[in-house]
Amino acid sequence: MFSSVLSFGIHGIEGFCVNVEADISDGMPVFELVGYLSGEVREARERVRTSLKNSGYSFPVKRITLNLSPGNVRKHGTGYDLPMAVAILAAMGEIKNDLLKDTIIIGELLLNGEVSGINGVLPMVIKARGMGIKRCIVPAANAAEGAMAGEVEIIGVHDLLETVGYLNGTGNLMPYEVKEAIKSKDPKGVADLKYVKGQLMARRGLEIAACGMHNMLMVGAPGAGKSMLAKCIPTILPPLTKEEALEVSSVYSVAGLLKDGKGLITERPFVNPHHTVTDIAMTGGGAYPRPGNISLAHRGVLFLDEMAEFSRYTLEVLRQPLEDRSITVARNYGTYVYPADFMLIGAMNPCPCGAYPDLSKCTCTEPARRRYLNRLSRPLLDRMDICVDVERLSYVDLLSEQPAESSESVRKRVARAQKIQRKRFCEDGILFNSQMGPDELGKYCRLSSEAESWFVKALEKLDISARAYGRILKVARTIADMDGSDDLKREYLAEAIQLNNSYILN
Amino acid sequence: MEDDIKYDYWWAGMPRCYQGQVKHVAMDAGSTRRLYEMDKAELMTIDGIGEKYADDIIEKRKGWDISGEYDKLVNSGIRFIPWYSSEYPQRLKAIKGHPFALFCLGDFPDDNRLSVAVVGARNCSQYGRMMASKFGTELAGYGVQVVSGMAYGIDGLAQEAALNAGGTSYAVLGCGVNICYPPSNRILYERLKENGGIISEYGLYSKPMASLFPPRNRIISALSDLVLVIEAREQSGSMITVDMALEQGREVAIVPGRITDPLSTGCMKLCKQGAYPVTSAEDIMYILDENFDNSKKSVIRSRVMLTEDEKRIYEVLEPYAKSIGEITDESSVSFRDGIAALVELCIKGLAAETGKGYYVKAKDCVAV
Repeated sequence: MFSSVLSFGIHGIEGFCVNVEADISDGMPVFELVGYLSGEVREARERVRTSLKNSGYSFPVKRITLNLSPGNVRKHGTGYDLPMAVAILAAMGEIKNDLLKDTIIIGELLLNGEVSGINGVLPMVIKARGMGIKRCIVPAANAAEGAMAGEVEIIGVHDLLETVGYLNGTGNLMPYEVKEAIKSKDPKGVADLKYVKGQLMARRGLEIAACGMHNMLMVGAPGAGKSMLAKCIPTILPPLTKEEALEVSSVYSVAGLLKDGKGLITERPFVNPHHTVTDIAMTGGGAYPRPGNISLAHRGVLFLDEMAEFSRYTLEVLRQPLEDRSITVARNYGTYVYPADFMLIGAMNPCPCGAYPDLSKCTCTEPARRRYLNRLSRPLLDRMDICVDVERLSYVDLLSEQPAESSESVRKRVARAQKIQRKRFCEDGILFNSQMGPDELGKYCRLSSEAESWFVKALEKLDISARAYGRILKVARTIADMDGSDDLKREYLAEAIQLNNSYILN
Repeated sequence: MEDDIKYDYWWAGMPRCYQGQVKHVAMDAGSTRRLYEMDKAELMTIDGIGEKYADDIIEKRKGWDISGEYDKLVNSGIRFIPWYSSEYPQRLKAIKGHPFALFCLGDFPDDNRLSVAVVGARNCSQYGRMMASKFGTELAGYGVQVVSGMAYGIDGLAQEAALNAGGTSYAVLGCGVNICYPPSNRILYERLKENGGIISEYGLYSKPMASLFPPRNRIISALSDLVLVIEAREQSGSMITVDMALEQGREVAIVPGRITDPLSTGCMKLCKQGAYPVTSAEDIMYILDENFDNSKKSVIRSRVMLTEDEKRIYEVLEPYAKSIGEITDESSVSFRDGIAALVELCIKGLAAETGKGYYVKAKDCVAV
């Protein structure tokens, strides 16, 4: 007897459909698995046989062949256990074949027949929805997650017998119902700008960066509050839209980082890897790649504290994703693309000891300071539009009773500035000022001849390289948007010049 | 006899040649030609030559083509002046332990004109920078030659300022004159060749080793009539120069700084020991020249046109770094206007950003 069951695998963060075919025929009793399988899929042989036996079925003493097609794509992961068992039962005639044609089955089996959760259910269901499939049988542990995709009936199963019962129409399993609609939460927690006292410059830089989604470098003495400020950035960005939440959750689902039964990720990610992180952990990789830090920071913030301490190579790999907003990882078994549209926030000391420019405390020599700053390569700095100083707080500021502006009210301004940008760029295929290329710069950053001549003179006098020209214009555009102004006035240009990072480059 | 200078050139390139005894060794041997011809046993009879040194000398002779090497030197344009030459600076010749010979690109300081050594910290503050430029400019204005070591910081800045003001300046290096150290002062190095000179007692291609620098400081002080110290820590090369200057009977003057700055410790110590505190090059001229009369000349500070905000900001700027927050607080200019004003001041060259978000006064002017 022959049977076929639909299942799903994961390639990158995209699901792909896999046909699990089973055939039972007379001959020597063997259990053969084919279909370009990795080690953990091959091991399913024992899990399937034992769980069938422990669920009360007698494993047929016949020649059993299982094939996972397409045969030219490497399969890995443990989600094929359940479809394999179902395919064998169907081939044995224990399951009626008619329901199997348009039902996706995924899940890992335990030896006692129970079904346990797997990674990557959300992107699989999203893909299935795109293919017009109506029903997915997933482990009960992943039901909430899968249901977030919407439009697809999600059947959460606890064990093999329950699955068989559902397929045969004897059980009383109902599709999982989404208890609360997807609602992106306003971020809350300890990080909030209202707890940041003083720091006018840094707050201003933060807000401008958030408005135009500019990458930002913070320079300041140890203990000045750089990390605290960085943590506030997700709180002043507009909440995730539903599509964004699905994208982010897909990445986390593949990485196995979705909390059980929690469903979607609704807050903007904030990822801050330690400076000892490797380049592979940063970009994603491994024999079967997992999303790296930059993909986990998708639609959120990647914060690199002590940026000068990261290995040069780890930092350099960020350059391509910062341009493309995705990362392509090529490995033995295929090429994987992960989304990586993040805002890069770096923090570093002004010199190795951290006291510069206070020469009564700083013990660094000029060459040592230069060497320290030069650890950030020029091409990387070229991708960071904003550079601010974070001052060490005085006690006057620290003890001040005056409440600082809260993240919530800043967020409103950010949303307004971003709306202006969306409207402007609706035909350009970009969303934010930071993404402007030469064409858009020419279109939207025109200077009056008076401003132009002042700007050129300023760059010349301040010894700012021509490469900074575009960066400064983009930031000036954002500042103008925040003021609701169409014109790039001289004061906006001046502030953008102050915010540029050529102090480190020169 | 005419060939002797070729042997002198060979001898001047000896390692350890800079040590005071070198000239005496040459004198003892009779001539450098004799040194070149002696065998090991003979060499070791000379006072100051041990076995190792004798081996070094023999080693150095190998593959050294006396005529060929000297021709190469002549063709390179680098001057080689042994101590007995009439071109050898008189000021230097007068000191004990003067170098056996000097290498020079450009000229030596004029013996008949005043010359002042300006020395100080490499890692100096903005105040030090301003003072180095000020004194370099003013000294050049009085026709004084500025001698220094072309280092980062005070040394290089004073020399650059003197050149910018149309004066002459001379750098004494702690390496061969054909090596530019520090490399970042390459432009200054080239300019000094044209409007002054690069001087060293070390053979060509000598690398800048730490041990070579203290002895070269004795040349800096010897070539000048007065040593001016701007920002020096208590343990520093500048203090060595001062020690040498006192030994050689040169005057010492200091530019006072804030007494709490670590960079002031050296200067304050010298001040207590009797060095002249000076506030302008005029003071130095009075020290060096008893007939000096400057009553006719008065220093005019340049005037600049500033907007109201810029003026208020400029007034609170200091030669030491202040953050944007401090500046806007003190000047009570609003934060955003303050930033715009600061950028304008930077463009006008009146302020400078020394660290991210930290500004200093870069030029002293009267704001109108």
